[in-house]
Amino acid sequence: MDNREEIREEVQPWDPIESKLVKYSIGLGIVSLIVLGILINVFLLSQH
Amino acid sequence: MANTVERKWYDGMFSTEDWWAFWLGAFFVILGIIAAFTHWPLTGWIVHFKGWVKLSDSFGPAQKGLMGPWGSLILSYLIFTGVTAFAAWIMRWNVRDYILAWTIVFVITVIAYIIGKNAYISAPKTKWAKYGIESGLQLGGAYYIIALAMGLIIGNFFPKGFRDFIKKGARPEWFIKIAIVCLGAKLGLKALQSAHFAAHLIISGVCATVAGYLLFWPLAYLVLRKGFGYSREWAACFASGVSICGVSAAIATGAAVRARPIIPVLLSSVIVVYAAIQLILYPPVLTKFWLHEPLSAGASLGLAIKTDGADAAAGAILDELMRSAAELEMGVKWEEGWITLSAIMTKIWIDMFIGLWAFILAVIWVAYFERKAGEKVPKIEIWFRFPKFVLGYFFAMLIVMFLGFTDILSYKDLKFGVKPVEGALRHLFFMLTFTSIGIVTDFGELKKEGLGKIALAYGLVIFFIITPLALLIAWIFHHGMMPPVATGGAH
Repeated sequence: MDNREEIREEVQPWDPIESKLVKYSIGLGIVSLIVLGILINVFLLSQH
Repeated sequence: MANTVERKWYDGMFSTEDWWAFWLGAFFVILGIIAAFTHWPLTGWIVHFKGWVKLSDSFGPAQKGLMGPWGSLILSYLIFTGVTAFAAWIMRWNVRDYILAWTIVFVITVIAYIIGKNAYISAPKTKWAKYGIESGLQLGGAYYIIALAMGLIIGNFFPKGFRDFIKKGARPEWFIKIAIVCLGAKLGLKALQSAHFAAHLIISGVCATVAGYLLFWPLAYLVLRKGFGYSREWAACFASGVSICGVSAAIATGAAVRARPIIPVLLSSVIVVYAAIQLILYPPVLTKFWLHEPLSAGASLGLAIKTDGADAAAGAILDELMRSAAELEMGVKWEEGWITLSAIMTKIWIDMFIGLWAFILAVIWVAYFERKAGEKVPKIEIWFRFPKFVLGYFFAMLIVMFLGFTDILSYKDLKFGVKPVEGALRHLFFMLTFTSIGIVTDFGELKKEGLGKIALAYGLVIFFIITPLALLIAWIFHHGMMPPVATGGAH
């Protein structure tokens, strides 16, 4: 099977909304990592 | 996504593997609960594979003395063939081909199970006296690897015609989902013994998954778009496949962003191959370097391995390896199953959120990239994307907990009825999954034209972004949690 035609793509410019999507998601990820991490460590993991 | 408007909420209830994993898993759990109420041997017939020195001791019914070993094996084959073939018939598969292929998979699995359970191969040193042996390889969980290896030999070296045929009965995702529904009953039973611990595992799992989702996907998308030059439709499907839950995430995202159907198909072969590599690599490495953090290690598998089958399989191996190592090196005997549960818990939450994630992506794509005025994404799309076997998992867990905590049934009664389902049946379906993963994993796929770049990108993202982050996130939300120590008997 030759997949080259399916995989070959025209170059799409990076859209500003993609920057927003990536930045917001990573930002929320870091915030949730810190906030949920603190909550879990204080209220749950401290009991183990 | 336009056609979803005409779909009803109950569509697919009798036509998808996902729903049939729910039905079959729930059927056996309910059978176990009826057995618990009535003490009828409704589940005691299920074949249970044991450590052995004499071949005649290698298997028998889950309920001791109920029938002979061969009776149990044959009855198990007939009943499991019957119910899965019934589902196959309703799903409009070719039932004759399914039964023939399934029978071959079943026989291979039984052979692998028996070989791997030999005491000289798998018994830890602490059990040598029980078997009357003085040496052994101590390869706990070897049966999983033997089943996988036998599957891989078939999947990669047998004639193509035979490989294509046997794939009709090798259904790793279906088998593991049935096993996971049964695993819910195990978590229910375990919660009756350690309610707080089970609750902590569930809460830690959901928190780790939320953080994992929000970090994995954008980082993968960024690398694939900027580093490898993939288009938006490719990068979105690829990022979901490599960072969320493999094939199903790639398909869900493909539908959400209206990608060409070939994209998830091309990705799926790479996802399956890498999952098999992770399944072989991660458990021994984690046992070697992270024995002091068993539940973090388990949870990291759920975050890092992208197919349900390979994750549960890796969790089962890790459970065996870590418990053996802990007994030998630390002199502590952990309860069986908690490490597997931690691996599956994070994966289940990941699976549950894919519907929501696909919905969010669909909204963004419709609003910004496709810009079709007035078009909305129906909220029911979240339900369509929701993995239904997860409902079975929670149903099984909650019904066992409800019956136990309210004293409607004693722990002893529940164990009598449900233990064969969450033990013998689940293990057999785990084993069927291992054999099936081997059969459907074709390493030759990676050599095909055009897949080299995908394989390279997938490997870089999975090993250098997802796995390190998975280890970190799993540690943040699970560090210090240890499996309860085995006391030798139930209360």
